[in-house]
Amino acid sequence: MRIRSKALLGVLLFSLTFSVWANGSKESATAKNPGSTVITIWDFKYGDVQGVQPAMKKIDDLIMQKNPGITINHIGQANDNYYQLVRAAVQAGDGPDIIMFHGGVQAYEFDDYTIDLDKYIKPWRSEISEFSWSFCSAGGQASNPVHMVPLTTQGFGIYYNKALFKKAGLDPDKAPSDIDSFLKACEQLKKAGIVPITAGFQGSPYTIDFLFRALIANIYGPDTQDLVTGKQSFKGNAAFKRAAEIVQELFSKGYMDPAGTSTPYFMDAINNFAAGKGAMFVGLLSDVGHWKAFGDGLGKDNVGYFPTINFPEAKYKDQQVGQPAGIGYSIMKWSKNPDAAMKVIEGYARGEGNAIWMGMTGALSPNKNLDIKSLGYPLVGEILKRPFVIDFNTLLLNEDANGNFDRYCTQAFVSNEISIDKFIDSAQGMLDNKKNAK
Amino acid sequence: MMKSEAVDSYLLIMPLLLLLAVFILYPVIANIYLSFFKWKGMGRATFTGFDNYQTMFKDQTFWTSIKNTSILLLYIPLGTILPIMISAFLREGLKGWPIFRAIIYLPNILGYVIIGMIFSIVLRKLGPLNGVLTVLGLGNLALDWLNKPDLALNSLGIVYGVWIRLGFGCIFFLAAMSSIDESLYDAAKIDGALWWRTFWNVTVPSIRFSIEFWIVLSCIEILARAFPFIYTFTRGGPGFATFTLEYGIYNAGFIAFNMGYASAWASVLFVFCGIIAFFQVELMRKNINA
Repeated sequence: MRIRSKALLGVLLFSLTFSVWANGSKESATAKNPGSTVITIWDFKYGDVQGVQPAMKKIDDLIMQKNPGITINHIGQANDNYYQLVRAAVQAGDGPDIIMFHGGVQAYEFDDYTIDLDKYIKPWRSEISEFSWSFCSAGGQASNPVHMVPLTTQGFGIYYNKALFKKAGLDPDKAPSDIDSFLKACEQLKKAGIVPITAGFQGSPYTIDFLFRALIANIYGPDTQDLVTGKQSFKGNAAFKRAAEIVQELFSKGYMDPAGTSTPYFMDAINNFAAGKGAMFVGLLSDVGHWKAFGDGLGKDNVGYFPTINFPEAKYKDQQVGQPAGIGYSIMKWSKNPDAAMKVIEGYARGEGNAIWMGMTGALSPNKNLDIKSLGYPLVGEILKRPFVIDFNTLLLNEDANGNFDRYCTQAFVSNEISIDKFIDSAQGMLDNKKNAK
Repeated sequence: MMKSEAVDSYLLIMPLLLLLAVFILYPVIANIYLSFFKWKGMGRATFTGFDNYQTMFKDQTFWTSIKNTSILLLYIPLGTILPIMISAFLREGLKGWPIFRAIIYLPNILGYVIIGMIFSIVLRKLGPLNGVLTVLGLGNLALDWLNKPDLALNSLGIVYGVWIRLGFGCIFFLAAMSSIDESLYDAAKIDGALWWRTFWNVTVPSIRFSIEFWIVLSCIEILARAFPFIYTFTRGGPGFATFTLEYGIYNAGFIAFNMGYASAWASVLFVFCGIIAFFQVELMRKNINA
């Protein structure tokens, strides 16, 4: 009997402790500002305490200052398991008012759980291009309602260090315009003892991945969308095969950084280029590895840029690959304060908040009203003067877009495990997966 | 009516049974159930019958993962023999053993994620290992360990299948050897048996149960506990070179968010683990009856 009483007491104590712990873990943001509407945001960028977080804190303060009745509870979630957390919230039917999504397929999966924003954006819709709005509409269909407000337009391009070009006897103000001049520049840089292309392949071969996306823009141009309908394909396309051969040639001729296999792209390779350890870099038009970081590291007038490499087999020239919405904010259906949540999102996407966002993080804002010149970086004007061609990667299924393509690139170009033809077969398989997805 | 002692016993094991039911039994049943559905990790699941299994058996990645997992299992003999041999030497006494023991046991303190990260740096082409080899004049052995498929998989086998549990293995087998009757060694000495013969005819048979248990444990470690190490070590690469069954479950479940498909993979892993568990139970039963 004594044992039984002790056991029951133990179970009781355990239950009590558990319930106290469970209650204690609940958010208590309202306690800080009684009477105000608390808007909770989840995102995967806020955890970047040195890069993005200071900008977000500044914007949050600005929004709260302009909207005294709103308190922002900004929560940075881990990048690696972000969508697992979001799914858990969706399953529970409860969570933050605002959630950050990557544009494209990752956002479309949540269309049923995010609200239609058309009525909110109507007064200022013209500030952002329809190229971005249609990408942020449910299922990526322009005819559907908008479910996400884009915070960035993202993409890829090639940056170069003008001082190193000059050192190698190249014209620093003339970017390599085609494959011949590109390979000639690489050779001259190599002879001068300069690493032609700073690269990062360890873990994931992002340098190859991003270069391919830039080359594919030149191959398919405005027809890129047709890759998943079957009207266009990788297999049987001579230009795609040539693109793969170009990448292979860059390796075989030693133009890719020989230390690349020991270097992760994020952030080592990026930092290497910003520190002047290489002449060219397949970089990002994003919130890292961008015009601002390289301008600050190498000098604002010392960084050149060209969007892609032109080659005769490709149908198009000088195409700039991009994602109409790299990241953005959506309001969840369970939010009790969608109006206040929208005010917060507007604070990020427009006006002073948007200028802070782009100026401090280096991300490209899709808002056309932003005064680019006031940022003081000539390079950003150079980038934004070009239109974007949609990135093929955003058309794929999650698994292919976020991992398999990189694995095929590694197999073909880093570990030399598969032939170019096998690589093309694997890449075509990703398109077929999307086409055949039920 | 149940005796009071029996009621007390059930009451005492009830919290454990409850935890087992919630965290082991329910997930296993739910996993098998889910493997017949298409489910994105949220919303409604759609019944698809054996579709996930059919897709899985046609998926080249699945067979690659089975091959990789099987190759890793081949490292178990080395991962067993090595700690037994070291323990057999140590049993006879070694100067400075406490320091040696602390060093050899270090991997168990660090944890898989940290060790995976450390080795992903150590084994880089321009990493410390190749640096040391070059300094020692063994530059031809300085290989690109993590970017050549065979090297990467075998590096994983050596580090995870052998080295990582070496310290624990030594402690485990030393404990087992401490229970061997010393008179057996004395008798072997009188008979003129050399070290190897003593080891083979006295030590090994005396710790047979421990060796069998260790092999079962190693199988489980490789089949079902390698993910955190691989995630930080190679992320399943280069390409799919270190992509195991367990890694495939993560990939299908938490990258592609095809939970039903991931469950089909997990069911295969469950079958493998079930076979090992069966042998383990049989082993224990045999030793109890012996």
